[in-house]
Amino acid sequence: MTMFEIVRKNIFRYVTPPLGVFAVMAIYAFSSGINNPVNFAGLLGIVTFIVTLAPALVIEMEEERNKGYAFLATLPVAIRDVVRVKFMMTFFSILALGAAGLALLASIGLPGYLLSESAKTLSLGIAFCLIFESIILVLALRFGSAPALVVLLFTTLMLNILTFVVASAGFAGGSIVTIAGKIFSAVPWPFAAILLAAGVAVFLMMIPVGARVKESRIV
Amino acid sequence: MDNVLEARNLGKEYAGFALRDVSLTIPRGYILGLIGPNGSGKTTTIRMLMNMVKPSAGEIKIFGMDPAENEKAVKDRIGFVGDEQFYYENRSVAWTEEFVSRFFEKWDGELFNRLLGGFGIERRAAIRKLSKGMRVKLSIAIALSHDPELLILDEPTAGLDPVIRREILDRLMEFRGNEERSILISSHITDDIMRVADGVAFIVDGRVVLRDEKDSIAADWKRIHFRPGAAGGRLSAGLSCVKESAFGHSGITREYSKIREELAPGLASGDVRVENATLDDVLISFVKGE
Repeated sequence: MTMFEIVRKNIFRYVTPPLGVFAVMAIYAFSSGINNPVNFAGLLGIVTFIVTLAPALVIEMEEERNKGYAFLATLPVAIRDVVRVKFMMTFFSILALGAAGLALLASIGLPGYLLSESAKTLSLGIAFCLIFESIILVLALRFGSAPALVVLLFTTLMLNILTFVVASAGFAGGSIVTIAGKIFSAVPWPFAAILLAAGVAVFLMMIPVGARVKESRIV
Repeated sequence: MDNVLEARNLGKEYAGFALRDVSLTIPRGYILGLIGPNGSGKTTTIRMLMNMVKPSAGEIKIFGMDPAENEKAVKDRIGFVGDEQFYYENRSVAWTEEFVSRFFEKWDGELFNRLLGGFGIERRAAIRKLSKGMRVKLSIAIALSHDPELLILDEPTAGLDPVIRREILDRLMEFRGNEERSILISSHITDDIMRVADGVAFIVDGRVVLRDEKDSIAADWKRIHFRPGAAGGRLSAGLSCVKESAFGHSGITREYSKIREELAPGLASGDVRVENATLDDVLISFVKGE
């Protein structure tokens, strides 16, 4: 019952952005068609990352602003359970968007090889979502959501600089998405499946870490 | 008499501050006042009891259970009012009630509304628009509306005007009702503790320096006023916080029963006068020492 309350309080924030953005992408895919399904799958991965992490960080910002954990700690609920619920909501959001993305790719009538490649790219994207989001969520619980956001932006900046350096050296051209796409396409399916499983495992392992971190810093 | 709360040898280390060997026991139906100056460790102690801060040493049992392992079961029977009141600021009082009520096994919505009415709080009011006094009152309404067996209050009256303070203390005395309910109340406003508590624990520099019944403190702790030379001039050696006064000198003793006979001649001659020490006197005596 109490866990349901935590879900109920935050469900609108968790569900609305993924649902809205996915609906827009689906409408675009069906109305305009998809020229490069592998890139589209990569884009789905990036979108999944943004629309599942943003609500989680916004909710943490709200908790920080209101000292929400200190308030919840006065009620009959364990803070570790609150953290677990929040992690699980993000977890299911990522998996649900991943599954919806796969369904979308399957429904647009791609030939077998392209569907396989697109699905692999999306799976790798979901694996990275699971790993990075769990780390950022733990950082947000430990240091606050603003520092976690700074870490995220700094990492993105570094990746872009790295992309620029790599492109300047003539190893590969284009954006970070293009380079990631090239790397992803070189990854064989079994390894991609292992990475996806590893992503799930890392995310689930980070839940007790996040719970311990928050429990030691309620006030 | 069974104990609703037992804390033994609690410890917590912070940079520049340490809480050491804090032990507290609250029997059922008892009101314990926790008195100490700012920064003495009252809030840290209460946060450890509420499992908001992990103790680095010691053991806590509330209703016979470890609150860290049985958090839901323990907190379901506790009403808590903190030194600051945290709520979701953009929400209303009504939303807050709906939210918190679902966490408790027993929630008395009628009592909550009655308390709100008595406190003059609108259900529709936005939390962010409530004054400090109103926020404390809302916190008390939440704390009382799930029929708790133990109230834990951390400086509930700090920063409030005397009218609101009295109103809140009256509510606490009403809550005590059938004397099956217990209260732990911390404050540095000793008048409030004097008004409601059965016993008092003084905490200074992270240690419990005195734990006694209020009546025993009144019997043993006295302020002695004496003229120079009274009782052969030995008096000031046994007193703390000795200072000059209009009478001559005054100081505080914690062992009045032991020196009463010695004072008898001075009392008869009018060279010595005795009055009850206030809880403020006792606290200052511990803070300032001999």
